Amino acid sequence: MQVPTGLYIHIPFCKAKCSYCDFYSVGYTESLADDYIKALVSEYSRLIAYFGDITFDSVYIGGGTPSMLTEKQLSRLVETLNNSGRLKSDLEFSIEVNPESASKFEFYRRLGINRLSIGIQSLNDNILKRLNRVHTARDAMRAIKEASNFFNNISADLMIGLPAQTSHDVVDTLNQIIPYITHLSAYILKLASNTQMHREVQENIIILPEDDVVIDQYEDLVCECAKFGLERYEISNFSKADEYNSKHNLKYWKCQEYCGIGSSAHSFLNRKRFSNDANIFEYINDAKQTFPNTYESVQKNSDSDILLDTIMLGLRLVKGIDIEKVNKEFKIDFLRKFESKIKKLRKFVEYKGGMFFIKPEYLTVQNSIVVEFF
Amino acid sequence: MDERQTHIRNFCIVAHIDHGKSTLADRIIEKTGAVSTRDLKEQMLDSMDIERERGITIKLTPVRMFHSHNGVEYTLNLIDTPGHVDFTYEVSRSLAACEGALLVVDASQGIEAQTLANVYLAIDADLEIIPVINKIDLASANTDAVKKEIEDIVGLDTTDAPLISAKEGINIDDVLTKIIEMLPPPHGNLDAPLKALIFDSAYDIYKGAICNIRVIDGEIKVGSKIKMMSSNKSFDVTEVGVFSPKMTPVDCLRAGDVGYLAAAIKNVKDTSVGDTITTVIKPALEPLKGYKKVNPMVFAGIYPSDGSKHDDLRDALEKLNLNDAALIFEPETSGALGFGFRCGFLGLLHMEIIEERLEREFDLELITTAPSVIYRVTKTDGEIVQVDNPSKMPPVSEIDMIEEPVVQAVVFTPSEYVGAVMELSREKRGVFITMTYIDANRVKMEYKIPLAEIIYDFFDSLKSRTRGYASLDYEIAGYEKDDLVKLDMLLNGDVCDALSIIVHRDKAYARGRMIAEKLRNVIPRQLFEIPIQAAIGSKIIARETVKALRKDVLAKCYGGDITRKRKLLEKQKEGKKRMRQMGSVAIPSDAFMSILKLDE
Repeated sequence: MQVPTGLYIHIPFCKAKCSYCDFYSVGYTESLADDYIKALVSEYSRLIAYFGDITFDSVYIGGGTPSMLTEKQLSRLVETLNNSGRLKSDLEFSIEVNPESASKFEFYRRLGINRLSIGIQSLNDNILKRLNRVHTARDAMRAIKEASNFFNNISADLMIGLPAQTSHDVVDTLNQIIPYITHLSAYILKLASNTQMHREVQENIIILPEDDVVIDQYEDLVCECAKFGLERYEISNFSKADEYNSKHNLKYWKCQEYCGIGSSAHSFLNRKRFSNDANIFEYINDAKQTFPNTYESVQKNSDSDILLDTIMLGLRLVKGIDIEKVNKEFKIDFLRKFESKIKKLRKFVEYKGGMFFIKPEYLTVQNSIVVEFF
Repeated sequence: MDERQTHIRNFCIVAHIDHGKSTLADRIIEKTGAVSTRDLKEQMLDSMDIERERGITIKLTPVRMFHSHNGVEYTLNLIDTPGHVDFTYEVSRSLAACEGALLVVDASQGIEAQTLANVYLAIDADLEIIPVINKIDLASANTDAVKKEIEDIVGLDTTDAPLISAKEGINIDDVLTKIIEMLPPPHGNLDAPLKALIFDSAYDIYKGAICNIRVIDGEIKVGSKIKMMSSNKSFDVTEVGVFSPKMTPVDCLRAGDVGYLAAAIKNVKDTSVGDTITTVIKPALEPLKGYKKVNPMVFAGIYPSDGSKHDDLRDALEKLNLNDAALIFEPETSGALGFGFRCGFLGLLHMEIIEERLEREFDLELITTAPSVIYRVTKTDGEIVQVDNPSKMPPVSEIDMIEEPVVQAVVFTPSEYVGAVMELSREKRGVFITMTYIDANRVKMEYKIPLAEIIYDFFDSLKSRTRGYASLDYEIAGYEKDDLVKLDMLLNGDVCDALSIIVHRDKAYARGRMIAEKLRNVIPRQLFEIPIQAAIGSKIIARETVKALRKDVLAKCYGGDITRKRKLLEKQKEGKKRMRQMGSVAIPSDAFMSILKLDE
């Protein structure tokens, strides 16, 4: 394994469940988190022992709320990584923080973390309350300002399409945070059916904005970002320069390898996609359910499967798919193989400079375009 | 007539929906011990789930019971009858197998139009009729008024009419006594050549076609060589039996008996209901008077949602046809829906029931086109064509005139709703014939109304505008000319044949607008904009647009979990497959249903 891969570490603790979230999370207790870190360290050790030559040029600690971990817990985890000799020198090392628990910035830097992702979502307190976020707009501004004293690569998460949200809200939020960020992830709300907010919508307690309104908001945001030099490089992601593009997330979109440790973490290694069970207790108590058993119990994906993944993920990127690379990897003539589909989609896609991509104005209907390839 | 025969009573029950027919049947079965109380399901005779759920009877289910009266044991054969206007045909079949009928009337509701129609059928069939007043335990029961009504309208003496509550089991014995004392035993000659009437048939995968029969003359047993008098086809009887109420084999069935026979008959078409069975060796000279063959009145295209299930649909229709001779079908092809069948039904309820049975019993997902009647089109060259599918209507330039079937509709309603019924009838192009006060509160109104209007939500509107009190009965009253046009729906510029309907010109604009609007709401936004147009010939009368899709479900691939997105896309792909593809437009199944039910 000569090419460095990405490492994702999942921290499933949350102070409260956001009303739109359907990801697995549990409440934080110190002893549970201690046990969990221990299990993470153990899984990581098994991983690097199994793949003697595996190295990482990106690490992403996501959640959940990783900023809920104590300094002691986090340093135990990160020191293990640092001391393993598997981290490359050009490492991108990100951690997700939520405003209410974002304070240990100097400590993060000392550990070698060099990129911060802050879950701002919105700077409208009424909206934050509706989302059941545990922070206020003031908390968020305080956190991002303070973080900027320590980090020169900060990403903020925003949400679009929220109940009672206006274009003005979105642009206003962006204007306030723009001096402090190099990267932005702006996701349109998508409600899974097992969420509290979905129930509230069903019961007409809250009303979601119409699709057209949401897309107008999104287009306004894209415009506003461009004004400040935040260029869109993926459906939902923007950055001030290529060097600030999320190296870790790009691995997902380019269908490159990565491994995930922790409960519900997903991996793609040696053409195999595998994942851990979500339940944290099982993760802690039963190492047999994690790596390497998860890896060994699945089959390698077929070429055609990985090709579809490559299309599905690559067409999220503004630059799109590198056709020459795809042709070489799958031994196909992409443009000929999908000739009739591409012809049918010609209004929405383009092939230029060796890259096949969705025209930016149609990125928000990426599903309907990609599904044509299925 | 032999001794045995004098101890048989064959009867049916005539009642309006909800007047307690099935409950009474249950009580009689329970009382005579044909089914142990333990095995007694509510509404024993309604064997199909649909029947039990809807509280209606569709199929004829016979049951044999025993009852002792004055020290003599009697055999009672109850043949259940359907109560809905669509199934008049089936009613006449069961009546032909009986000598008597119980007329069950709800003590609080009085006699209803549909009941009346069936009572007349029973009278026509020379049946002895015993009026039974049910639900006397209700606070709203008005026994005297209902008795008077029966005497006035039907002309039956109600002096001795049993006053019962089938639900509470009150006076059921009285009903049994009346059945034995008032109904005649079956006539017929045991020594004459065999004559047995087929009043129903069903298919059993082990035994072949099963004929439900009433033996009029002679006897039939296992080994008898029989023949069908209509086709002269002969078979060897492999089993005869009775319904008690499960099928129970017996040695033989004799004059007066009701039961079934199996004769390794492979094709149900060889057992046409109404046919007479006789023996090969000593055949009867004349067949029994058969039933009047009814013709389907309502037609619709039925297509499988999944095009690959076409053969399954054909099999299912053939199987249903085995015991529902009134259903007819033939292959049909639609540009929008692919391969399917044009089916003919007795009425709208019959159509709904067939659809439901296809979906439930055969696990099929269906797309049904708007029901149509048979139009009689006279072309400019003098040729007359029958059109049962709007998409087969000749071009406007070749049409001289279009005639449509009209019905004579009889509505019984409480007098306070006379205005509402008049208004509805006017909206439905009804022509007033007459109105009669039955008593101070009840009115009988007669109209001539196009059948097409009746099948297009007339009954539902009538029920909702009279808060359920009015009842409807109708019979076909010939063809009449009117200013009818074919209304086409165009999607992305192409006519979608499955959405065409024939309407009166005055209504075409409103209907066209309504359907276009409805389609706009049910067709999901797609990558391309979809214009929807309603047109008469080449003239566009309404237009709507399904705007191009701007937003998908934008699942983010969080933490590298791309499986969610893969599943989502695969689901989307599946969903697309279930839709009908017309050019670049994907149309969901509901779109075809939407023109059936329009909220006005």
